[in-house]
Amino acid sequence: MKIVVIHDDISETSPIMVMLRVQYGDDNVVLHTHSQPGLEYVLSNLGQKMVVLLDKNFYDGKEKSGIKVFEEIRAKTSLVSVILTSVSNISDIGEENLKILINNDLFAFESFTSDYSKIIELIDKAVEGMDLRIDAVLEEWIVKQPEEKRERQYITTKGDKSYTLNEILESIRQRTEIGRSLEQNILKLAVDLLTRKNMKLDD
Amino acid sequence: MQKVLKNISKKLAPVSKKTQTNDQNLRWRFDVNTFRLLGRELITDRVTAIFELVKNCYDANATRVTVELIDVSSDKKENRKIVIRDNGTGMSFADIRDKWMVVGTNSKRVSQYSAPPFNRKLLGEKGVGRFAVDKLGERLVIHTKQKGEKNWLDVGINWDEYEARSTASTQGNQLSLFTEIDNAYAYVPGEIEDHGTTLQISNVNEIWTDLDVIRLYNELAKLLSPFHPVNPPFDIWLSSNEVPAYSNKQVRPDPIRFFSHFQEIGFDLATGEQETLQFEADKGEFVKIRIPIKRFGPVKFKIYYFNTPAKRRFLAAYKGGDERIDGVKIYRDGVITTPFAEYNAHPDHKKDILGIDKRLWRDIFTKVASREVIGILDITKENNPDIIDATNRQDFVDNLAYRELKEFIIQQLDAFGSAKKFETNLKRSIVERELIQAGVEANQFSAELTKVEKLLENPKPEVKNVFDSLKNQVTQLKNAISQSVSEQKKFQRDAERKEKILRSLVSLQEFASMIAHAVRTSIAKVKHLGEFFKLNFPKKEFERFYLLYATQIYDEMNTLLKVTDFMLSFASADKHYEDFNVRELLSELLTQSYETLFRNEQIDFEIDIKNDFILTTNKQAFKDVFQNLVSNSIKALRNTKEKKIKCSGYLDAESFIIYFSDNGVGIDKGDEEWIFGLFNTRTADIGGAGIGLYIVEMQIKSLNGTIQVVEPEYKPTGATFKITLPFNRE
Repeated sequence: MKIVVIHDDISETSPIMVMLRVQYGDDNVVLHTHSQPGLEYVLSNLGQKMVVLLDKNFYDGKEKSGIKVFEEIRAKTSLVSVILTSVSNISDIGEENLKILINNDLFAFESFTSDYSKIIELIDKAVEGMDLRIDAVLEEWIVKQPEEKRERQYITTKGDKSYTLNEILESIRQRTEIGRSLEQNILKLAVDLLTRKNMKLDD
Repeated sequence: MQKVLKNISKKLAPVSKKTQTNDQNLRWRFDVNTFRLLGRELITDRVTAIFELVKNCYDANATRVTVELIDVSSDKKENRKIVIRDNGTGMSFADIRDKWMVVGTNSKRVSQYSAPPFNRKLLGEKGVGRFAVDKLGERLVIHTKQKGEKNWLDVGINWDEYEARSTASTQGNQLSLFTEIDNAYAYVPGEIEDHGTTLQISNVNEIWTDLDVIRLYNELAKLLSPFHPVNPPFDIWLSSNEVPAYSNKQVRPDPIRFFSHFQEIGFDLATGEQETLQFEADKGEFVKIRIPIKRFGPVKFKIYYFNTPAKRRFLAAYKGGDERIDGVKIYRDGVITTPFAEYNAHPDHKKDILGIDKRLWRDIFTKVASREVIGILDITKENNPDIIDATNRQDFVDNLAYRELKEFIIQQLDAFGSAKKFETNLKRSIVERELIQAGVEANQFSAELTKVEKLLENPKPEVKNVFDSLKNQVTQLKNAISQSVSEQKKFQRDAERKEKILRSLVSLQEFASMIAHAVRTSIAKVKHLGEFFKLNFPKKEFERFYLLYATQIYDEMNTLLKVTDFMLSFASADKHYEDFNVRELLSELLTQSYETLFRNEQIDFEIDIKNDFILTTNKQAFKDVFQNLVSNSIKALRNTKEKKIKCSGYLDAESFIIYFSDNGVGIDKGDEEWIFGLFNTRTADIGGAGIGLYIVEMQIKSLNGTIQVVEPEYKPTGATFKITLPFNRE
C-alpha cells in the first residue's frame, strides 16, 4: 500500500509526513509538491494499491487544480482512494465541482486546518476500505501474476467472448460491465462455497 | 412523405398484432421509465431537441437538412407535426436495432470523426437523438435508407403507448421494468442511389409560437460560422407553414448589424505572424500588432462590440435579439465546436467556457462582458491541432495551447474594454464642452444685444420693453448654463467617486479572500506543528523534530505578521494623505533604501528625475508601486550579466512622466496588457504570484494616472514601463 501526498503546503519534515512514515514505513509514503508530477506518479503506478491525499489549490495558478487531478485519476481508474484537503470551507467549492467530487466517489474531504491526526485517521480508513474491496483485491492479484499469464485468454463468457487478465484488469478499473459481473460472480461463488459447508472461512 | 406514411400505417396494423417472436417487430432494450426520466434531464427544451437532431444530421454526413414545422401552433395536438429530413448516410436495420434503440452504457465514441470522405468532427452527443424526439412529440416514424439498399426502412414508435403501459404497471403495483411493446416496421421500395433519414414527429407536445420559430432559427444559425464556408456544405433549411417569413428559408448566420465597434484580426502563414489587438488611449484608436504565431496556431477572429445605444438598436431590430449577443464562440472549419454546441435556453445558465465573465467582478467598468460582444473565432483542423474538444463536450482539453488561446481571446476583449473606458471619458468631456460652448454663445448673444440696444437711440418704450425682457432671459439662460456646468461637474465627480468606491470594494473582496487563504494556511501549519508537540513530547524517537518544529512555528508566525501588516496598511491606505515631492521620494527610496539590495544583486542603478512634482496621496501606496517594479525587475534580471535598472522622469505640458526600465528578459509581445491582470505571471517558477503589477496598476489608476509597457529603453532586451500622472486630477 502506498500513501501518495500531493500538496504544496506539506514538506518532507511536516508532522503529517513524519507520522505517516512512522505508520506506513518510509518507502510507502511519497510526497509531491506539484500537481502534475503527482498525477503522473499515480497514473504510472496504477498496479499499486494507493491512497492519495490531495490539495485542492496550488499556489501557482498555472498548476492543475486538485479537482482536475482527481478527475484525471478517475478517468483511468476507480481503484485509487482520494482524500481532498483545502484551507477553504467545503461551501467555497462550487456546485459543479462538488458534483464532480461526489459523483466520482471522492473518499473524503477534510479541511487542512483540522488536526493532522484526523487527516491520518481518514487515510487509515481509506486503507482499510481498500483491503476489503473485491475489485482492489482482484486488481492486486492480477498485477502480481507474470506478464505472460496476464496476456493469455483467461475467462470465456457464455456469449463465447474471451478475456485476458489484462483486459479484466482494465475493465475493473473502468467499472465496465464485464468487470462488474466478474466481481458479482466471485461474491456469489464465495457465498455458495461457504453455504455448502465444505469450506470454512479460514481455508 | 404523406403517401409513404399511409403506406406504412397500412402495413403496420397487422404487424403490431403479431407475437414478440415476429421478426417484423423491433423491441426497445431498456426500461422506458428510466429512459424518459433520463431524457428529461438531458433535453429540457424543445429548441435544444431540434438543435440536437440537426447536429446528428451533420454527423451523418448530410449536406442538406430541412426542418419542417407543420401546424405547430394548432390547439390540437394531433395536427402538430415536425419533420426533420436529411440526405445523410441513413441507417441500416442493424443500426436502428443495435444503436438507435439501445441506450448506450459506454458514452465514449469509437471515433471522433464522421465517415470518410467527409471526416467531420462529430457534433452530436451519442444517444441524445431519441431523447430529443421524445421531448418533441409522442409519435415518431423513422424513414431511412442507406445508399445501395433497395428499400427504405420505416419504423414507427409510439411514446404515448409506452407511457400508458408504464403508468398501468405502476398502478397495478406490479414491477414491469422492461417494456413489452413492439415497434412495427416495414420496408418501402426506393431508388438504389437514395440515402438519408427523415424523422416525422407527430402529436407534438408543445405549441410553437412565432417567437419560438424565430428562436429556433437563431439557434440553428449559430451552428455555422458566418465567415468560414463549410466544405462539403451543410445547408440547413427551415420551413414553417404558419410563419410566412420562414416558409422556406435557408438558415444562414445573419450579417451582424448595429454594432458600435468592429475589429478583425488574422494571420500570415508566410511570415509566421499572428495579429493581436491593442487600443491606444493617446490616439483613441485600435492598432493591430503582429506577434509570432502562438502555440495554439494561427486564428482568425472577428469581434463585434455593442455599446449601450448599439445594443438598444440591435434589440429593437431583432426579436429575441438578447440571445444573439452572447459572447465569443469557436468554429472549426466553419462549424461550431462541441463545447459551444450545447444550447441553453436561459442566458444565465450558459457556461462561461472561455472565462470571459469570470473576470468581470474584478473590474466591471472597463471589462467587456459576454453579453456585449459577438465574437467569431475560426480555427481549422489543420492549423490548430492542439485545440481539442474534451470528451465530456463541455470544454476543450486543458493543455498549454488552449490556455494560451483563452488568454489571447481575453486580451482582444480587453482592448475593447480600453476603448469602452476611453469613450466613457470622452463622452463626459463632450457634454461638458458643449455646455461651456453654450455658455460662450449666450455671452456673445448678450453682447450683441447690448450693441443693438446702443445703436437704437431712444427706442420706443415697447421696443425697450422687448429688449429688457430679452436681456433678462439671456441673463437667466447664462445662469442656468453655468449652473448646469457645475452640476455636470458635480455629477461627474460623484459618479467617479462611486466608481472608485465600488472598485475598491470589489478589489477588497478579492483581497480579503486572498489574505484569508494565506492566513488559514499558516494557521493550519502552526496548528499541526503544535499538535505534534501535544501528542509526542517528550518521546525520544522524535527528538530531532522538536527544535525543527519550534523554529518552523517561529518562522510561520513571522509570515503571519507580515501578512497582517500588509492587511493593516491596506485598511488604512486612505487615511494618510500627504503632500510629497515625487523627485525626492524616488531619489530617497531608490538610492538609499535599495542601495544594499542593488549592490548585492550587482545591479547598476541610475536615476534621473528632471523636475519637482508635488503629489498629494498616500505616500506608502506610492512607494509600493516602485517597490513592486523593483522586485519585478530583479526577477527579470536574474539571468542577465550586466544588470541595469533606470528610473527617469520629467514634466510635460499636462502630466508628470516616469519611465522605469531594466535590461532583463523583457515582456513577450502580446503580453503587454495581460501582465497587469491579477495572478498573471510568467515567473511562477521563482515565486512570482502575479500580484505586484496588479497592485501597481490599481495604485496608479487611483491617482488617475496610467501605466503602460512601451518600447524597451535598453534595446533589444529589457522592459520599460511608462507612468503618466496628470496634473489635473479632478
